[in-house]
Amino acid sequence: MSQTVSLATEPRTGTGSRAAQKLRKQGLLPAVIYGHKEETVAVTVNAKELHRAIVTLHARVLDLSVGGKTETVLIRELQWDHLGSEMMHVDFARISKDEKVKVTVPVKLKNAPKSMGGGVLDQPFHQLHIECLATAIPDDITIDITNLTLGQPIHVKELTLPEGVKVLESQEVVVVQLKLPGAEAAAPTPIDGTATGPEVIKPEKKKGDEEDEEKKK
Amino acid sequence: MSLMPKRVKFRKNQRGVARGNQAQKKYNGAIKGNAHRGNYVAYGDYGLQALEGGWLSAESIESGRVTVTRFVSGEGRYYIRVFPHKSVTSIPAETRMGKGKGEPEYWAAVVRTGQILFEVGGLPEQAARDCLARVAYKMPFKCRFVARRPNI
Repeated sequence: MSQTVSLATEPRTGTGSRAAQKLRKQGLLPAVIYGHKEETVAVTVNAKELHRAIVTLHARVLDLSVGGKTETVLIRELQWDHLGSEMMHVDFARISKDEKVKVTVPVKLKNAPKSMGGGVLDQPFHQLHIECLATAIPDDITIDITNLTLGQPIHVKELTLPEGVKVLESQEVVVVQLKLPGAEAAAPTPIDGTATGPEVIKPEKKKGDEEDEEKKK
Repeated sequence: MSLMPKRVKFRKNQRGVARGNQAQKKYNGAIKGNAHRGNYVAYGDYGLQALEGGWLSAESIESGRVTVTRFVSGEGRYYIRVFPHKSVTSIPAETRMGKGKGEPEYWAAVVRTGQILFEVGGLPEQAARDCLARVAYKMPFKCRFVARRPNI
């Protein structure tokens, strides 16, 4: 189960990309706290501490100190830079600890299938949407694939879930399966050189245009 | 056997925006801007991310595809995240200037910094690293190995 981590925040006055850029250079991350029909607050958090909480501790719920009082929040959205290496902005949603929340959790595969039977491992769902108590968000949903065989996929209804966790995807959805390699995406269309190019879409001629052309003639 | 669109509205495209030394590397510089879409691993477990921008020819994509196929066949799956939508024209050698735009020479994908080019799934991390390192060797820009982003 994910831990609850405490973080300190500072109020933020400047808005816009320039102000945010200055904060990031100082090692701070612009953030916003909203929800529970209370006022939206713009704050900053320490980027390193938040990175550690998310990447190392897998925290989903945080205790934030905002202006002297503590608020329990859920990390709702996280924005990354174009390379996905640094965080840009984070959204915190206020929650109460006995509240049910909708979040996504990763699907983790355990062990390897006994026999592949000529198939390849296919995992259509790397994340599942779940509903559970804010204090009981699992780190991941682990699936043991030792007995996975060709033609017998594991559906949502066959998952062993932690207590109080409900998967929001359809019960018939395939989470992991063994698939024949031939069933993969079709190979690219064979084209010899550039002599045969793609078909050019020609605009359809309207009736009015044809009449005009006839008049010109 | 390289990729190209099946149907297009126009045979010839405009060249797009390049940056860098326009005088020396006119039109061949890195593509301006960063990838804000297609910049994270979405289908597989690991991916190959471009750290520079440019045109990725259909032949380069095909050579990457062949490399991945040889490595993952029978073990895992691979995904190609770029498609050559752009036709690149050229004028034949020893031709006088003028007389209009040249004929399409090849097809290319416009790649911006951060774009995921290939993804693999169902392989252990070390195997995925080895596989994508071979693909990176064939790519015309610097690439790096990336995993999925932390789940939120």
